[in-house]
Parts: sequence; structure tokens; C-alpha cells
Amino acid sequence: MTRTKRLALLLCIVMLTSIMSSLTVMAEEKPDTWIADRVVQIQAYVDDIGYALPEDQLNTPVMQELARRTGMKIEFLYTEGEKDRYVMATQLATGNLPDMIVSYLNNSTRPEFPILLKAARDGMFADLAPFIIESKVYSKYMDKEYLPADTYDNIVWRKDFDGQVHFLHMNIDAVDTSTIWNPAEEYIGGMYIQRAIAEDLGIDVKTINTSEQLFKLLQDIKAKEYKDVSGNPVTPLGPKFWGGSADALQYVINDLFWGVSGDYNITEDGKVLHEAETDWVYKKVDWLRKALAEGLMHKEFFTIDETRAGELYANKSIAIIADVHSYKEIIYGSDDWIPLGPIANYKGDTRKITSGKGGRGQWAIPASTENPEEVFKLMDYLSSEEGQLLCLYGVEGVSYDMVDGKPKLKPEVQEAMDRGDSKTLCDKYGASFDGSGVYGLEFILTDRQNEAYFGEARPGASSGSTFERSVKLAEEYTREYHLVPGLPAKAFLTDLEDVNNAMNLLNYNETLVQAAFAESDAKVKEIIESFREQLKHAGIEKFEKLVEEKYAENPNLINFY
Amino acid sequence: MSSIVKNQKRSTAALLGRRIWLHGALYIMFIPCVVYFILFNYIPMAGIVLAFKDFSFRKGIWGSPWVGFDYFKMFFNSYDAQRLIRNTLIIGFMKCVLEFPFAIILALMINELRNARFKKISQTVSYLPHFMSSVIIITMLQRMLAPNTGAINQLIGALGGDSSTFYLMEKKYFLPILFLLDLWKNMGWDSIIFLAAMSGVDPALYEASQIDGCGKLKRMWHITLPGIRSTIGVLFILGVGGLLSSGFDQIYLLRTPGNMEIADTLDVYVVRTGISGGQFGYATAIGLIQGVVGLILVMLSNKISKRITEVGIW
Repeated sequence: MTRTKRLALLLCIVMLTSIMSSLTVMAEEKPDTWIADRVVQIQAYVDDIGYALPEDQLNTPVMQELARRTGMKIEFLYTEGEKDRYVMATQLATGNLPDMIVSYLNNSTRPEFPILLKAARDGMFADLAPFIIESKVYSKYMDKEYLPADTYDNIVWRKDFDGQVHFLHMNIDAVDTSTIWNPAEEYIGGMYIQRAIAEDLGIDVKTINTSEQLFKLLQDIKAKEYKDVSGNPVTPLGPKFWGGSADALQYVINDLFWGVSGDYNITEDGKVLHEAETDWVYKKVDWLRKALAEGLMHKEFFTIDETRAGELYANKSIAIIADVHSYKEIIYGSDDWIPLGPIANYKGDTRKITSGKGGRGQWAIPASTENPEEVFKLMDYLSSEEGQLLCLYGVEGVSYDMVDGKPKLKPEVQEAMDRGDSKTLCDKYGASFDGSGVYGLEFILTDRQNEAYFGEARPGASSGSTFERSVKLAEEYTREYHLVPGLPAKAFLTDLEDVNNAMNLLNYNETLVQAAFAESDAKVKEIIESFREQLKHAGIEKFEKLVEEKYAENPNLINFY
Repeated sequence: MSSIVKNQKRSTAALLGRRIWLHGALYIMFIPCVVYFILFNYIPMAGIVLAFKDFSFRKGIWGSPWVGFDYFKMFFNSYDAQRLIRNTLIIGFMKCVLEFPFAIILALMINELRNARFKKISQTVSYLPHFMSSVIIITMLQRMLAPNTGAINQLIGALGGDSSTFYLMEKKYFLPILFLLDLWKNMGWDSIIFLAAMSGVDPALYEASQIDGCGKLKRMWHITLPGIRSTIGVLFILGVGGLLSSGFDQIYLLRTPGNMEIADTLDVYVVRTGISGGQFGYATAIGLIQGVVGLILVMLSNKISKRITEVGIW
């Protein structure tokens, strides 16, 4: 062997050794959680996600840590529109979709669902069933007992999908605690009254349990001629805190809601009816017309925009907020407002009705996404204990420290949360912090069990002062839960496509408001009768028959009571 | 024979080439307009085919299966069809016919102004609302018309009247509000074309009429209006085409449960069914009905106008 050959051989050996050793180092550097070197773009049809994004999404401490563990990063995309579901319908129609989509989806009766279902039936989404079987967290979705009935039957494991899965419901609690009153987790929603007015009138707010009692209270408030901070008269009943909507009526005149299952209910002789087909609709309209005529209700109760509603409450121009909850600053920020009621249901029961576990959103992978299994693995990892800790608390040493095996937020993070500094939480730390920071990172989780994993209901709950009053209110105004299993009758509308399309164009709440503002009782009758006609024309009888059959087969399927 | 046709074609092409060469700058300026119309008006027209197809997200417009006239039958058999068409026609008539003379009147008034500075200011002030977004205008309007707290109601209250009227929730106020709002927004802008037409009227006619002792009103009636007759005719014919389209944004934003009985129009229905309900084919079919009816109305009014006034757009 010549000298040159020997030198070349030596060089080759050196090179081979260095390549092998660097490969070994690389292999060693990759943790078990490694998935792929990839940025996953998620199109969010959720306004709260779009409004809480870091300026540099890919370089927050959380994203850097996620990349170190899995090789992957997440980038949320958000397109503003009049309504998120309009944007979703448009983007699905154009086929312009990134690696994954997320949208609101509390249950299968939400307006997003028919659009998602059509897209799934058209083959727009990848089949996730094979990935579920192999996953760590999402494999729980194969257990019928784990998922809410609606999630299992109508969203994830739909019979018409022939064993395929096209979207996954998120934010499912690991353990069903829906009937347990836990002050640390409860949102006290519904009516709130100005404490000063309640005290002046000497009323016990918990004893106002019927719409009749409420009406009398509104009259008493009116008679006292209270003034707001600018010296203008106080209106007894104001709109929903987030702006005018008929939704708030469920708290105000709950005892006049007969259609408890998505506007439907069943009569004693087993006939399924829409509430508009019964006299209950007139009872509701009468109450509203009287309240409006006597000036007890704000005239823009159903239509006011959020900004102006906020002004009304900031000025104390309203005695009773029709709907707000204990985690809004106006409630937890001071002692000025206290819960009122609750108004009992039409059976006189004040217990809070629950159908058991629920969900909040859904995610799907477009069929055009390359290597969908990587995206799935990432979603599965994020919902593991390790992934949830990263998403909710951020990076250890940066935004929290481990104390006795549980995460404890750093004081500066807690302070940022207390002062509502979302920008700092997003840009500097990049985690969700119970929705105060990057909301998207909380929205995409499932198998939630904060108490079990982290020892507290939400990040900072055990040490922060921000929501102290929210928890106190939940301790003071406790309620009992009443479990009524089943889905709202409306969930079965998708079984009859033609009826569903026609019914989607009808709006019962709008009819109620129209009747409430009608110029005469004769006009009220005309409006209601016209709506009944429209229901018939849309094929309601066919639908009601279907629901009757389903209910007779299995009464636990539909939440009539 | 064919050689004559060929020669004619060649000379026409040569003439066109010469014209383009001579007026090159104008033709270059014309290119963006042509591109705009092709891209945004003609190519999207192909989407009309959706009115006859069961749209599938996956297969797209061309791959989706045909459904014939199903959507048209569905619409005309629907409970809402009659009410929607009636509401659309009322609002369309109001916008296209009732509002039409106001722009001419404004143009006549501005044309008679002698102070150039005041004339320019008046013109600018009158057409500025055209550029304001309907969302902003209607948000302002909602505040102004709010019961008890709105400026209008406060004024009424201060004068001893009932300040609790909720104008946007009462059906009877919907059309007047819409009329005034639309007039304020578009009158100034629409008057520009009439003003341009008026500047083309021969000044000698005005001088001669002055010598004959004509006053301002008579000059307007006998010289200005006949002078812009063809412009009025053409714009009216084009406007009639919009009878079955009421416009979307203003009505959508002004709609409340109280006025919905008369505020629900085809344009709003198209959005409700198409974008929010995902029934793209059905919504396209309704849009197509509006377009076809509009075209027929334009053709009819053009024919009538030509017969009566000899003014037509073709």
C-alpha cells in the first residue's frame, strides 16, 4: 500500500468515525417524544384564539421547548370575519386549508356542525381512526363511557362514517365531575343585581325564584327611581353583559321555558312538540310585553352592542344584569354586584340541569395535509400530562417552578395574570395560563384533569388573588346539579337533511322578539301563527315523529324532562 | 368575393393598429380596466353553474353532480319566497326610482351656484358620505336613534316629547330610515355624472335664453334638463336593473327582529343560506334569479325608453 493510499484510508476511517459519532449524538439528543421536524399550521375559527397570539409565535419559550421535545412547532392562523363559521364555510369551499383546523363545537347542535359534517361527507378531512387506536390519550375516545354520548354518537364515531373518524371533540374532562359543585371551578352565570339596590330594598336575592317574583322586584326597583352615576334613571333589567341577545331570557324567565331540549319537549301523552306549538310561547311573549310596556326592561335588551352594554354597566345605569358570570372583571373586580335567583325551571326546580360531561371545540386534519399522523401525534402529546403542563404553565424555571411535585407560577407571571397583561403572558412566556395568555394552547387540549395533574383547578388558582371573589361567590351561592342524560332533540335534525336545511333558516328567538315588540295582541297572534306555519312547511311533523320514535326506543337518548 | 372580404378585414385591422399607435397612451390606460372586468366580472360568471349543482367541498364547482332546476323549484315553493321578493321589490323601487330624481335636483342646484369655492365645497361635502363604510354609518345611527339615550330621542325629550321610541325596532320607521340613509350616502356621488353632463350643454343656449328674459327656473327646465335627457335616460335604464337587488350591507346591519318582516330581502337571504348555512348552490340560484330578472328589466326599460324618448343604451 502506497503512502497516498494509506493516507486516503486513514482519512476515510476518520470521516466515517466522525459521521457515526455525530449520528449517535443526534440520535441521543432526540428525546422519546420526538415526532418530526415540522411547523404545524392550525387555522383557528375561534375569535378568542385569534385575539391572543404572541407576536413571534414560533419563538416563544413554549414553542422552543416543544420543538426540543417533539421537533414540532405550532403556528395559529386566524382570519377575521363577521362570524368565524362564515370564514370556515368560505375556506372549506375554496379548499384553502393548512395542516389542521379548529373551531368551536360545544355539541352537535352548534351551527358550525352542519358545515363540518358536509365537509367530512365530501371527503375533506383525513380519517383519524387508525391513529386513535395507536395513541396514548386519544385512545380513550374508543371507550363509550369516557366520551359524552353526543360526542361519541354524533361527532366522533358517527355511524354514517363507517368506522372512520373525521373530527375530534376537545376539552373533555378525564373524570365526569359534572354533578359535583366545586367552587374552584364553577362559573356563577346568570342574573346579577347591584348590591346597594338589593340592600336598600331589603331582599334576599336567593329567594327570587320565579318570573313573577322577578317582575315584582323590577316594579319595586322602578318605583324607587334610582339614579346612575350620571344622575340618569336606572333601568331595572338590562341586557346580557356581552351585548343584546335573547339567550339571556333563559335566566330571566326560565320557568317559562317549556322547550328544554333545544326548543322541544314531550307532552304527558308522549307527543314531541316545539315550544312554539304550545301556549308557552304566549306566556313568554306576555311577560316580555308587560315588562317592556312598564319600562322595566331596557328597550335594547335584544339588540344593543357589547360596547354600549359595557357602558351601561360601568355607569350603573342598570339594576340587574340579565346574564354575566363570576369570571368577568365587573363581578370579581369589586363587591358591587351579587348573583340574583336562580329562577326555577318550568317544573319549579332550581337545580342546575346538566347532561354530564361536555366538550368545547373540535379539530380536524384536512385530507390534503401531508403525513397527518405527525399532526395527530403532536395533538396526542399535547394532551398528555407533560404536554398539558407545557401548554398551561409554560417552561419550568421560566414561568413556573416545581414545589412539592406541583407547578407554582412565578410571582412575575402571577402579577401579569392579576393585572390582565395578556401581551406579556403571550410574548414573554408563551403559555395559556388558564386562557389569560395564548388561549389556543388551552383550547386544543383534551383529557383535562388539572386538580389531579397540577393540584389546582387552573394555573395560579391556589396562589393568585385575581379570581378570589369568583371562588367566594361559588362558595356562597352554591347550587345542586340535576343530571338529565341525553342530547337536545335538535341534534337529530341532521338525520333529515331537507328538514334540517329548511329549519336552519327559522329562528324562534327572533320570532319571540318580534312578537314582544308587536304593536297589538292581534299582531302577536299573527306572528306566532306565521311561525307555526313556517315550522309545518319546513317539515317539523316528520322530525317530531322521528324524535318520538328515537325517544321511545331509548329515553336516555334525548334530554326531555 | 372572398378576396374582397379579406381585403376589408386587412384594412380594418390596419386602421385599428393605426388608431392604437396614435392613441397609445389611452389604450395603455384602458388595459387595467379590461383586466379588472375580465378577472372580477367575467371569469366569476362561470360560477353561475353552481346554481345547477349540488356543491361538494371536495369535488369543487366543476366536479359536483348536476341537480338541474331543483334549487329554483325549492325557492319558489318555499314559504319565504313571496315575502322576500315583495320586500326586495319595495326596497329596490325605493332605491332605484324614488331616489333617482334627488341626484338630478342636487346637480341642478350645484350647477347654478356662482361662487366657485362654495360650489366645490358643496360638491365635496355631498359626495364624501359615499366613501364611508356602512358599518360605521349604521353604528353611528344606532347610537343616534337609541331609545332614551340617543341624540334624537334626547332632543325629543328636551322638547317635552316621548323619548323612548325605539326607531330601529319599529317596522314603520325602517323604510324612511333606509331611504334617508341611502339618499344621504349616494345622492352627492350620483350627481357627479349629471354635473358632468350639464357642463356639456352649449353656453350659447343659456345666453340666448337670458336675452329672451328666461329666469333660472325656466333655464333649468327648458335648457339644462333637455340637455342632459340622454344621460338621465341611460342612468335610469341601468338603475331599473337593480330593482330586484336591494343591496346587502345597509339592510343586514339595520335588520332587527322588530323590522324583519319588511327588512328580510333576497340579498340577505342569499348570505343567510349560502355562507352561514353552507348551501352554496341554493344561494347561487337565488342570486342568478336576481341577475336574470335585472337583465330582463334593463332590456324592457331600454325598449320602452327608445320607443317613447328615443333614448336607449343600445
